[in-house]
Amino acid sequence: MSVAQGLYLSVAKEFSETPGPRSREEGDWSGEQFLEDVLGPKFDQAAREGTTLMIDLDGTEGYATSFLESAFGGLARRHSSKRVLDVLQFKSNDEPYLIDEIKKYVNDASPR
Amino acid sequence: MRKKHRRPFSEIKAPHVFSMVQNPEGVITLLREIEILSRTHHISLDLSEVQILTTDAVAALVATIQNGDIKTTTQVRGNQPLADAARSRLIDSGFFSHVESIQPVAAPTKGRMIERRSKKVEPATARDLIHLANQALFGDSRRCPPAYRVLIESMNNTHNHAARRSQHKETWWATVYADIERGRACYTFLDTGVGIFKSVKVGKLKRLLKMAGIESDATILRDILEGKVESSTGQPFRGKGLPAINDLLKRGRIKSLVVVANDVYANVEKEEFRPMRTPFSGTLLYWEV
Repeated sequence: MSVAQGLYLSVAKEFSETPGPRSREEGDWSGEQFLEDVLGPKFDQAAREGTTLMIDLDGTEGYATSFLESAFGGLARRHSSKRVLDVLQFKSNDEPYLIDEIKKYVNDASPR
Repeated sequence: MRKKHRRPFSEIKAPHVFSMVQNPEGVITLLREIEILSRTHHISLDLSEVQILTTDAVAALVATIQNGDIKTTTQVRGNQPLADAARSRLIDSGFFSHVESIQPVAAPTKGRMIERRSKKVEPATARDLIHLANQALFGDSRRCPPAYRVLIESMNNTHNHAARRSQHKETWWATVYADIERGRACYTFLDTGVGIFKSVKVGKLKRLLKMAGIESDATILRDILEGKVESSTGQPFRGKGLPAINDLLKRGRIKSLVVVANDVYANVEKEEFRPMRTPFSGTLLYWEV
């Protein structure tokens, strides 16, 4: 039996080591920019292929709440919380609590 | 730009404990004296008897004397503390990158102080401050996600305060100091804007209780840090910055968190929230990692 290999997205390598604020207007490397340019297209690809998308949060300088809410909450507002949590998986060895935080933003963003 | 007119100097003596964390009202009283006297006098600041000096107070002092009106009209001169530890901390804080010294002063290696008049969040600035402190502490440049989060959240708060006043740009200051003896990086973020209390939506009941003297800004600040107060935007996904900073403290990822905002002093780590008789014009956050 073959197991489908999911997609992988490293924020540090494919977006920025210095994630910034909520919106583009507020400063560089915003959650809005990440959602529109990187996360959104990769999520759509994973959803099309019926596979998962592993988000690797490690290797950046850190994350503000507004960046995470804008990116992952924003994704849930586009789709739904359930759909987002069905597709996304997370890796965060640097700051493990970020995973629960992101899941909360996703759940709070739209009805499951 | 107004000229610095000929007028007399007036001397102001800094308190022995020159620290917003340890002696907020003593420092704020000094800053208010500078503001008031600068309308009629140039200022001669006597730091000679300062025994304890922390970089949060240095940031507040620089923010005051670099404020537009004072900067353009008033000469501020001064001496250095006689106590060795306080003097070297003043030099290492980056103070003399912003204030002229009569004598030559070595470039700081343990600290930096940055001023911005901006509505932008600056991730690269946050990274540079953190790496400078860690280079001094550990001998190599390294990341610190909790410190980064607090810096970005603080810049974001300043942006939101400014956003409420359309095109207005807030001035903010961020400082870092590597306390080698204690093995800690000490951060201060300060803005001279409208403050925390105007950027949150205080409910009708709380407003009434505050007017009746039953509720104070000190209890409101405690509620803000606990995430119990809504952002002024009314959007449920906003206003998470200060609760997230408090959460880092609870997780032990940052230490010694102090917030001074308008008429409130909060040593959050010690759960000490108290009103101040002399209010501070803005918001100051201090934390260590």
